[in-house]
Amino acid sequence: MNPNSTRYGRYLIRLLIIVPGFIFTVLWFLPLLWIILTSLKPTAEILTNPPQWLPSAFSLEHYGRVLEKPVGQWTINSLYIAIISTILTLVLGAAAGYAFARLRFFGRDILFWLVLASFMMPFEVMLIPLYRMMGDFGLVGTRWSIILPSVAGPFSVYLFRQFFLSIPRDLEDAAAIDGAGVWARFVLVVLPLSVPACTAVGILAFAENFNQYIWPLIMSTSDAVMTLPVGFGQFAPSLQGSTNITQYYGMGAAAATLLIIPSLIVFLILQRFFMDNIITSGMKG
Amino acid sequence: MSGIVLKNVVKRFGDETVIPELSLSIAEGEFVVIVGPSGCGKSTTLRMIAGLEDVSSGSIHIAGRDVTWLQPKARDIAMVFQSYALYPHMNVAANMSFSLRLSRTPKAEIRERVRKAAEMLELTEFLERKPRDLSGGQRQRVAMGRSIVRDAYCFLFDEPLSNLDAKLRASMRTELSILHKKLDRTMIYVTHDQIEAMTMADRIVIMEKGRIQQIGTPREVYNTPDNVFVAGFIGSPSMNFLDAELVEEEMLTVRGDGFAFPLAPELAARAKASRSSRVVVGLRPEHFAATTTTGRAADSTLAPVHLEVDVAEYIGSSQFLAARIGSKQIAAAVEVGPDTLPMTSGEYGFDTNRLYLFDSDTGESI
Amino acid sequence: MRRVNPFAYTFVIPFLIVFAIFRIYPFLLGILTSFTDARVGPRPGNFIGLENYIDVINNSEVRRAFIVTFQYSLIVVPMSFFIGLAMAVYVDRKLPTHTISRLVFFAPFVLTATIVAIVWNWMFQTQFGLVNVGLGMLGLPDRIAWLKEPDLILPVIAFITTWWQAGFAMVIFLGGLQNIPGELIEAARIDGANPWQTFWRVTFPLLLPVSTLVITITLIEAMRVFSLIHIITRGGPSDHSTTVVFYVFQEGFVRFEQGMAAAVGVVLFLVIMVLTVLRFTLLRGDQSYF
Repeated sequence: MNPNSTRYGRYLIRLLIIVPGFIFTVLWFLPLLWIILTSLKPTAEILTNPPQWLPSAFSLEHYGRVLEKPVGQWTINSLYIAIISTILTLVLGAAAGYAFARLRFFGRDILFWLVLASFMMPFEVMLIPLYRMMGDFGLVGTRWSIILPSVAGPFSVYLFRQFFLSIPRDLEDAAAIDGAGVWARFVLVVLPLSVPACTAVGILAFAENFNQYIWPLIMSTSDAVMTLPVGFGQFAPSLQGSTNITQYYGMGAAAATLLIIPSLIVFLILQRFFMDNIITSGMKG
Repeated sequence: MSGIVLKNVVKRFGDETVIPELSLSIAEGEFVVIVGPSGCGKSTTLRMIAGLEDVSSGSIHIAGRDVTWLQPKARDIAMVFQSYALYPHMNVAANMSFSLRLSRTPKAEIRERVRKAAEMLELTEFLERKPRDLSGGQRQRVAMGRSIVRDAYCFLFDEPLSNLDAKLRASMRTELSILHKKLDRTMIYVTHDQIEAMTMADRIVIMEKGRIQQIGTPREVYNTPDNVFVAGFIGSPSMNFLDAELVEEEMLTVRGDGFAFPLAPELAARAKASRSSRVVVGLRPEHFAATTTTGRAADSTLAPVHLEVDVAEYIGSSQFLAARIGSKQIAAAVEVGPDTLPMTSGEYGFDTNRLYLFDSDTGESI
Repeated sequence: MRRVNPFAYTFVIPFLIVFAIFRIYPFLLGILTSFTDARVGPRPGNFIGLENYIDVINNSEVRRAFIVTFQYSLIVVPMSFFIGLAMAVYVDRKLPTHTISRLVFFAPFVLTATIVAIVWNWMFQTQFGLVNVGLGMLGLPDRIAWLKEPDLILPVIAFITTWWQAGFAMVIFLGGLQNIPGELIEAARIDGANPWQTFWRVTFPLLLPVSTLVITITLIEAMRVFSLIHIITRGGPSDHSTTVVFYVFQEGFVRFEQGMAAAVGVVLFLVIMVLTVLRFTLLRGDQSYF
């Protein structure tokens, strides 16, 4: 066989993979691009077929109308809930994970088994009882009603335990001999070595809490607790009456863009963490 | 009572008994090496002394105090780990001063003690570095430094040299011996390497299967091993064991497949007293000798023995032989002189004064 | 005698308190509620035995919700699986074009459900949506009311979910691919296998544990589908996208039949428990690649 022909064959095959892959990639991103462009068009240019790709003039009218809603309050709520949840998840999860990984105490195995078993309890089963409990506690309509159930999840405890098990035991033994008690060992030796685990759990917890939908939806009795995902749900056009539907497509696009841009920026900055964490947490969890 | 005393210490992990019963006392200032194959319980013993493992029963005393149920930090000990266990996020100075900072020692004193220890170990220029920027040998020194700074009553070493290369290990052995002289502290050192034990120890404790096989000075355990295990474990290359029978000839003789050695009078007396007829003969490789060009054993006190040589390895001062006596594989180390024959199969000599006999049932020395 | 560390409790108790109150207690309370006729309000409801569960079996609406959910799972699981796998295989190279693709494929996963719903609502709009516009350009039927056709709604939701979450499957597959020793692939090539054969005879079988993982995770997620349904279809057209969780939501928080909603929730738990146990038993068999 002519060596050149096999070489060209190889290039051809590579091309046959790369070109469709590239087209597929563009198509995958197109919806996001399209919604961003839509949000910037004057209302008249949104509903056209064939579509008008670029707006004749950039218009911020939809953004103006989105911001008539208490978007600021929603943002504060979302960030408040996500940040407090994340901090609590880190603190409680790391401490409990360490105890399950390294300390001996009565009932440890059965408690850890319970934590593992709770992976199987879908949150949806708890909607009704949690709703009733929040009523009893007088927490309905507060941010804590959204924070507390998410902190109770077993995920961070499990991940932290796995990570702590991978820290060489000699280090803690050495610290014990150097005179460190349990808390000193945990705070001075183990935690400084756990920055990767903390970032992982922190990012996952933040994303999860910021993006959650069903529970905040049930707890959102007023704008005072409403989160961005729930609040922006009001801009989904299909839920509106058919009158003036054009305006709602524009508003929806503007609202979506307002969240897409920061989400993508955060993702691009932290993409390594996102993907690596999913590999490790997915494999083990 | 000073020093370190273990009384009837038993250790179980679940159903498994790792250490059936162990008693040991170590004098103050002594350098004791606990040696044995992996899994013999030597590390567990050390970790029980340190307080990192609980004893299942029995008691441990350090400097006259019963420390059996005390936390490690209350035992006045320092420890060097096989992995060094240096805190990766602290620099050398911080690693060395960690325990002092925990015990709220005045800053000036901490600085002084770290400086002294660093000087002693030639670490002064590395004090600001993180462990990952150090070589293996330097890390090892930092681990030592961390213990020295403590000025503890007793130093524990858990295979501290096994992660170093052969050359560095040899020089660290010397340094450790010097350090012991300078500090004049009790040291307990665990290793699987009998050379480390032989070179550094005041006394060697040989363990197998959780039991102490023999305690003695390096000379004692080498020259008068209590049993087959100790005889085989101490010495390198290790002792050859051959099955044999005691037969009454013109002298009391051990005779086996391919060899017959007359016993020296003293040994013959002991062998008679033991009343065993089946024995195991122990021959250290270094007690073989080559024949001279005259075809006779170089020394008339040597008993002749025929070696079927498979391989000869020349290492300068002497030569290692992989050979057979009868059908049994043995090793011999033979000094090479100018008039020795090329190392081929043939007549060799063995110094019968250096022959060991063991009871073939119990493995005890005769 | 074992030394137990009394400080250990200071580490676990804060978490355990929150865990007990907000995870274990509501779970048990949910089971309890499922045996009552509780409606909204502080009154706990009367004990009515298995009546709710008998209803779950007899009630055609509930049965329908489970059937819809299973149908949806049957579409979305293979879709995410194969698209995720294809993405992983395509992206598993260190060229810059592939790095960009990897980012693009994964990006939707970080978005919240509301955005995904808004984006695809607009994409699937009948007259001006980009999907129909694209079909029109290719000369295909371009007046399909994607979100209003009873037969299309589940595939459409499945497709949107795949766009949203296939990146997750991709990343897990990538982890699996990177765990396969390169020598194995090289050995197969030296043994004369072409790339196609190498993939299906060597790579794919070695991805088996990862595949089980992807399938069970996407399956469990599919059983819990809610947010897209709630924002895009509200269970419609008629009840063609009324899934189990959407039904629970309607029953519990719109019609306030909370006892009944709790019972459906417990059944969902049983299904998910079986899937989870299945996943762990399947995985235990072959963990050599983790």
